[in-house]
Formats: sequence, C-alpha cells, structure tokens
Amino acid sequence: MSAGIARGRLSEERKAWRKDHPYGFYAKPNSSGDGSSNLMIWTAGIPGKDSTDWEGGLYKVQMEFTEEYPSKPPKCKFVPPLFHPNVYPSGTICLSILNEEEDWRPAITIKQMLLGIQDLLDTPNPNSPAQSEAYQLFVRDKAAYKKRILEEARKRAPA
Amino acid sequence: MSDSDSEEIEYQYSDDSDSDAEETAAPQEDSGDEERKEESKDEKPNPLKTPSGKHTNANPNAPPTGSSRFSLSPDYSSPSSSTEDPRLVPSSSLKGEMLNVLEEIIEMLSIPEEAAGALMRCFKWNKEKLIASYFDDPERCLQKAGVLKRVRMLEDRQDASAPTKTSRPLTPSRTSPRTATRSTPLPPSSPLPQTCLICCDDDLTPSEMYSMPCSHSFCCDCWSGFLGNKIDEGPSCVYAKCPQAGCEEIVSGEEVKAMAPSKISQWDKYELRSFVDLNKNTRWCPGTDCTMVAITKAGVGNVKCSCGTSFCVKCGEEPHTPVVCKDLSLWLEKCQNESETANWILANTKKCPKCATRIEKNQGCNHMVCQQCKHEFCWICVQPWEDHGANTGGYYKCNKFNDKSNSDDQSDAAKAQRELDRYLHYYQRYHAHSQAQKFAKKQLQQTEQRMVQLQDGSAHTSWIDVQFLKTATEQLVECRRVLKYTYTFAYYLDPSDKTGKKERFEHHQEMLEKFTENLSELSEQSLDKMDRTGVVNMTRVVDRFVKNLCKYVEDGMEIED
Repeated sequence: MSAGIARGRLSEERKAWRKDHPYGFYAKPNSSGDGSSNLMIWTAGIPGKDSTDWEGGLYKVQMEFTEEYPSKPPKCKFVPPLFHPNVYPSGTICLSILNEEEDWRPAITIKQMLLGIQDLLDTPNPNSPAQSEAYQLFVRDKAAYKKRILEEARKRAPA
Repeated sequence: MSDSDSEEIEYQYSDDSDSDAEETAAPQEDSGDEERKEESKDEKPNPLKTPSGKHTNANPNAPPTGSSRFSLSPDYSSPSSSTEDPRLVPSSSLKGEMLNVLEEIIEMLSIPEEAAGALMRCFKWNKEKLIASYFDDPERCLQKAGVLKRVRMLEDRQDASAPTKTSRPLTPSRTSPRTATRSTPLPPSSPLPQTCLICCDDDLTPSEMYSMPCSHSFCCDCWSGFLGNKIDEGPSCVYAKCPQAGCEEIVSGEEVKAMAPSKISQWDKYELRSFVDLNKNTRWCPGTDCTMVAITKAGVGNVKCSCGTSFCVKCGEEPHTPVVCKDLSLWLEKCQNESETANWILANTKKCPKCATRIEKNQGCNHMVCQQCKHEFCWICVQPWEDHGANTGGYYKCNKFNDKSNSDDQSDAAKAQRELDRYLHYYQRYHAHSQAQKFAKKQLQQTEQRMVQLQDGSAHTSWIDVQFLKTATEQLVECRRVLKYTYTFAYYLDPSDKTGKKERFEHHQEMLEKFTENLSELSEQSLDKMDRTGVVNMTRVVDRFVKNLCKYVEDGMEIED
C-alpha cells in the first residue's frame, strides 16, 4: 500500500459496486460541483433489514475517505444523526470493523462495511454506548425503545 | 520483653580494626570481577557494565574517575554465580534470552518459532499457562493466538500429503523462506492474472503476490505498505493481523523479513520490547536512559544495575524489604492521597522544644543540637536526647506507636481521628527516614572529596585506607532505606496481634534505629575527629543487623529456639 492508492482503490470499489451490490442499498461518490465526482466522499443508503423494527427505513450514511485509505478506514456517519446506542450524537458510527485499533483491515470492501452497518442497526452493542439517549432507553425500557425505532423507520422511509 | 532477648539477630562489636577495612573491600571487589566475567558469557560485552576509569589512576591521591559508579556497594546482587537470580542483561542479549525461552515451546509443541512467539505473547510469556491451555484445547489455543494456520500449514507440509486447495505454492521445508517459491515459475500454460484485494490491481502474476499461511493473497507492494504502516504505528504492530477482513491470523517476523525487510530491525525491537513488557519475570531498569533488563526465575528479587539504580524486579520501585510490593503500593497511594494533610501537619521545620527557634534539619542524624541554646533533642519525638542514647542507659522510644487516645470512644469521628493519628505516627517516621536517606545520598556524593582530604591529612594513609568512609556512607543509605520501609511494614502489621510479633519487630527496629543513628553520627564527624575504627566496626554491625532483620521478617518472624 504505497502512497496514493486511495483513489485507485476507490475507483475499483466503484466499478465493483456497479457490477454487483446488495439489494436495496445504494452507494456513490459525491459530485464535486463541476460535474466530476469526488471519490473521497461517498454517500450511501442502507435499508433496514426485513422483519426487524428498522424495516422500511433507508438510512443515509456519509463515508469520508482519506489519502491513507485503505490503511485507515473511512469515517462513516449517519446524516442526519441516527437514534441508536452505538451512534455518536454527531452521527459517527461506532463499529469495530470501522475502527483502526480494532477490526479494520485494508481488504475490507465498501460492500462489507455497509452490510456491517446494516447488521449493527438491529444488534446494538450495549458495551460501547455512544449516545446517552438511545442507550438509556435500550437498557431501561425495551418497549419504549422499540416504539422509538419504529418511528425512526417510518420517518426515514424513502419517498 | 527483656533487653537481652535479641533472638536470632546478632549484633556484636568486633575489635580487630585495621585488617577489617581491607577485608570489607577486597571480597567485594572480587565479586565485582566475577560479575563481569559472568556477563561476558553473554553474546556481547556490555559497555555499560565496565566501571569507567577503574585502576587507571596514576595519582594515588586522586579519587578514581567516574566517581558515580562505585564498585563497592552493600548491594543485593553481589555474590554472583551462574545461578544468580535476578540477573541483569544488556538489551543486546535480549534476543538470545527470548529464543532460550521459545526453544522449549518450539520443541515441546513442535511449532515454528514465529508461532511460538505469538503464542507466548498471547499468554504474557507465562509458559505454564500456555502449555495448560494448549493441552486443554490446542485448536482454540492456536486460534486465540492467531497462529492456527501457521501451525497447521507446517503440519500439512510435514505430512507431505496431497496438495491443498490454496493457489499459493507451498515450500517443501520450513527452513527455506516462503519467498523462494515466488521464483518457482508456474507452468507457462496457466498465466491466470490475479487480483490484489487491497489496491484492486487485477493484472498480477503469481510471483507478484504473497500470502501468509492463511493464504489470503495480496500484491507485494500492498504487503510492504501494510507492514510498513503497522510498524510505523508502533509497538502494537506485533499484534497486527492479516489484511483480509475477519481473518485472525497474526503477522510475524517472517512476513516482515520477506515483504518489508527494511523494517525488520524495528520489528525485532518491538518484539523484544513486548517480551520484556509483558513478561512477569523481566523488567527494564527504571534508571534514566538505562537499557539494562533484569531477568528473574520467579519474578521476585532486588537488583542493582550498573547505572546505579536499585530496584525491585516485581514492582519496579526502590528495594523495599521488609514490605511486600502490594503493601508498598497501598502505602504509596495512601501517602499520595493524604499528602496534603500530612504535609500540613509535618512542616519541614520544627521548633526547638526549649527556645522555640525554628530548626531546619540539614543532616541525616536525628540527634539535634539547637544552634541557639545548645539544647539536644530527638528530631522524631522532640524529647531530650539524654533519654535516647545507649550510653545514658536511656531507651530509644521513638518507633512505637502508643494508642494513648481514649480507645473506648467508638464514635466514627473518634475512630477516624485514631486512624489518622496511627497513620501519621508511621508516616512521620517513614518521612523522616526518607529525608535522612536523601541526606545520606548527598553525603555519599561528597564522600570522595572527604576521602581525599582525609588521605591528605596523614602521610601514611593510602586510598584503600579511606575506603571505609564510602562503605559506611553506603551502608547508611541502605539503613535509612530499610528503616523507612520498616514503618510501612509496621503500619500494615495487625495492631491487635497478641503473639508478640509486633513488639519483637519494633524492638529490632529500635535497635536498628539506634545503630543507624550511631553510624550516622560517627560518619558525619569532622575529619580531624574521625574515628576510623569506630566507623568500620559500626558499619559491620549495622550491615549484619540489617540483613538479619530482613531475613527475620522473610522467615515469618517466628522465634527460633
């Protein structure tokens, strides 16, 4: 991974995604305003899994890559921030495969990241809370938590 | 308890004077030489260990150069032999030390060296734990350490059985590096281009690809970048795993050698660092900029490093007999927490009990003489000194805490007050000896100069004749250190103990205190009044007494009869 492979890798990721991606997802680089695309910032949509409380919602995620990618993971955040125990108030997602100190590996693909985030929606990790509101509700009042998630899913249903 | 029941602790004055000094000096010098011989057995001679400027003095009147490295010392490591434990090794011998430990694992489990290293790291270099876990469930154990594939691949190769499914050709023997296979050309009929999952280059020949035993292939450039990044990130690189998502196989020196050879020395350094850091039986010398490492068999013991630092191998603090590491750490924490209270109560100065002049203690001895009114008193208890000295038949009463407050008062406030008083009693004495230890260390620095002056003072005095002053001062530092910790030790003794252990301990403590004050006073004498015989004898007495006291505690303070 010599310097400057970030863009090459991202354009390959783009090709691979176009060729094949999981149902209901979308992911593409942002446009830079002059008609060309900015490979370093992607916007993706993650659908809630069927038969979970998240079903029906499409959750928008922004992925910010650096020149050090894929040595270092992109910063992924929900825009707008999401009500979820493992999402920081800023929207940043706390997930081991997105953490360089934990399970990030250079060979993890964008597809794997997005599928990982989708998994996280319905399987929050109470051991690493990132926001107080969702965490408190999740550990104290499961019924209220569920109600709140259903509401969230309805709000974020694609038009 | 009577005066005479000094049980196992001996203290006798001896009269033979002149031969003594040489006796004390000579054997210790010998042991120093033995120590050096012992070290030279290690791979490289250690420049740190050679006392600078020894035997190079042309002028016998001048002190040896490199005066901070004293070859004579009442140290803990002096009788050196091949079974010396703990022992000190320079960082250049660490690799050999580590390989020695790995050797047994490699042999017993018949696994590659890289796998043994990762396994031992995973079990914090605790061989017994590793072996127990391995025999309990080898698969799980190897998995946990991230070497399952590495070990199984070796087994497969040794079996020389049917080819595996991996696209990567396997080397025939472990000794030839896997990279060699890259030069083995595949049949020209199968030039299937391969894809690197990191850079996504999809037009790579097999020779441009490399993989760990888990057989996840990436191009050599990506490998080199990946390993380089990990190593640049620091010591945690020894835990780096395969770049493949979810793969638990751990990176080893083998991959670094093959794919990032320019970084191998850095990798080796981190590997050795983790060997010392994780291992309960090793510790870096805490001395500033010192790179020596203490190695023990059982993880306990005190060492004195060639840089002059003495430390306990288990906790890294200054040697602290008779206190155990756990109590010491409790004590230090307590002292830190209560430091403000204690400091407020223990100002650095005291008023002379007679004329009330503020007095700053600027020497180590607790026998104070007020410059104003010439009143003599004890620094610790501020009582007249007449009540203390052995010559007046008085009794040294400074070390015992008498719970004289009303112990019937069971209110929380009263209990808290009693506990604070109890703590302060011990802290005050701990602190006093700690200060005295610092003074003694300072005194030690000035000793060389005093020795030169002493030698110049009389025509027939040789350099060796004045060594006694250094030996005495070193002994004084040692005594203050032990005395300091006897108060920590006493604080943690059960106050309700009825077996008499506490009293016996305090009796010995008191004796040691008395001897130490004597020695302190004798060695602080102005040079024209210096009583060489007295100092030499007192040094010997005190040395033996300290050793016996520590042994007595170590043996559980039982009465021998």
